[in-house]
Amino acid sequence: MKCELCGKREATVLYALKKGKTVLFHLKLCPECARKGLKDKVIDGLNKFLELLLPVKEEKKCPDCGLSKEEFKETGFLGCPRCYSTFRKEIEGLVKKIQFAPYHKGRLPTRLEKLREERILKKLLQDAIEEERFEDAGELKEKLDKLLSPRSHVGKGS
Amino acid sequence: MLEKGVDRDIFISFRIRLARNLKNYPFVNRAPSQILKEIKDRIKKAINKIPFFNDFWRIDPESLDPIEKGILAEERWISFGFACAEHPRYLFLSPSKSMSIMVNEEDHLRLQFFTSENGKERRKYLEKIIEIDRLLEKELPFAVSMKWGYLTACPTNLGTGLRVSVCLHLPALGLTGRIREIAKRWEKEGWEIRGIFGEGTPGAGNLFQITNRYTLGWSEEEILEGLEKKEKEIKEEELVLRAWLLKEGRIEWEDKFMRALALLRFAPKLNTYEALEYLSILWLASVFGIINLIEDESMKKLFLDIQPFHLQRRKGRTLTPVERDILRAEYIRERLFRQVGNA
Repeated sequence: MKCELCGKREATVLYALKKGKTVLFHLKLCPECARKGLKDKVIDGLNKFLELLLPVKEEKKCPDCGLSKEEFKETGFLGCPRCYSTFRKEIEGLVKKIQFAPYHKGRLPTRLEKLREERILKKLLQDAIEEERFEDAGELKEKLDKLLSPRSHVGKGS
Repeated sequence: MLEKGVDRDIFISFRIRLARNLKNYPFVNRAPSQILKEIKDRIKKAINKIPFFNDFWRIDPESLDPIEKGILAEERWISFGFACAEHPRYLFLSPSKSMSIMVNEEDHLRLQFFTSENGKERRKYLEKIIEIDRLLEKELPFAVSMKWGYLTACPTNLGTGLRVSVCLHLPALGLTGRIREIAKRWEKEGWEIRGIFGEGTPGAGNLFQITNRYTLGWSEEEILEGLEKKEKEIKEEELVLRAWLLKEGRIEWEDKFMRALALLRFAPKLNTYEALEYLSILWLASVFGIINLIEDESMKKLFLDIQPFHLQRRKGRTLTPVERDILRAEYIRERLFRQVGNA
């Protein structure tokens, strides 16, 4: 095969043009062009040009702290609270292996506990209505109203 | 059959800790020094506002010399990582030394209760630490989600952020190596058995910490109840093995005991690990009623006093490892065999 630069001499050298670990392009050169190309930085320039032409897909990074998926996998540490949504999929996979269940069961700050209770009551109320258990629904509604009344702020004031 | 009181050396201490982080800040491992200082100042300001903490000691670890920091770590008020770190951090310590708050350890806040009293109800400690968490929550916005609970730098602490642990002296399980089988079995059940010097360390002095592996998916109460169940279970296994040591395993036991006694009495130097190992055997012998050199409480104190930083404090200066080993051997002889004399 002829050299891909001069087209005259026989190609005996194979150059891999890479971005990171990804091979973008192979260049078959004759020894003379290879030597000249390296010396005159022709190959460097070509490499840079190819990188612009063929951008490799950007690694997933946390928008708040800049932690990459690779860094997380390497250290096992997250960079900030936002990472939990950035790497939600990865964390779900990991948590299944290292924790008892992939959801929290336990205390939350007071305001969130109220919200959690509200969601549960609403769901139960909806079920009761759908199943025409009106007595239950009445009770649930009463509980929900009590929870949502302005005086029911648990832990507020003393 | 074993006699009454043969379990009196088992319980060493109980610890409970919560991990919390502030919203809108990077975790400690990813925060530059300037941000860590901001976090530290913010937490200090919040804690200063809460009357509960009025009489707490406020300590900047940077103001302590290495021996003082080491002492705090050996006494378990702070972690060794926290003692050695160089970034901005802070420590609040209750005057009774039963509670500490580390600022900028692995997480922004690490609240812990620590006690070597066995009588008190563990639930009370849990309730207390939750009460304190509620006080802090009014002043500090914690990073939390409905799905994941409290967000932590490492997903191993995610959810409740609660780690409860009990430190136990289990010489029969340690000497026979049976502890390793139990540890393997318990791992699958969500419990970890580790040496006193933390993850991955062998059980120096047959002291083992039992702690929950799961923080997510178990409630705070479930974690505490689980620990108490496991503690009871392992205590029973230890007692069965102690009875075995005195009967079927008698020659093995006597061999271990006599060697330990001879080394403690005559060895010119002892490293921490061997000293703890032999002292543990001697302690078991005194529980068995074979030898009576030292009271239980003094033995517990001796376990601490022979650790590197405690020895250095005694001498008032930094010591090389060999100097420490010599001093340790001398100190043990002094404490155990003083009355015996040189006869």
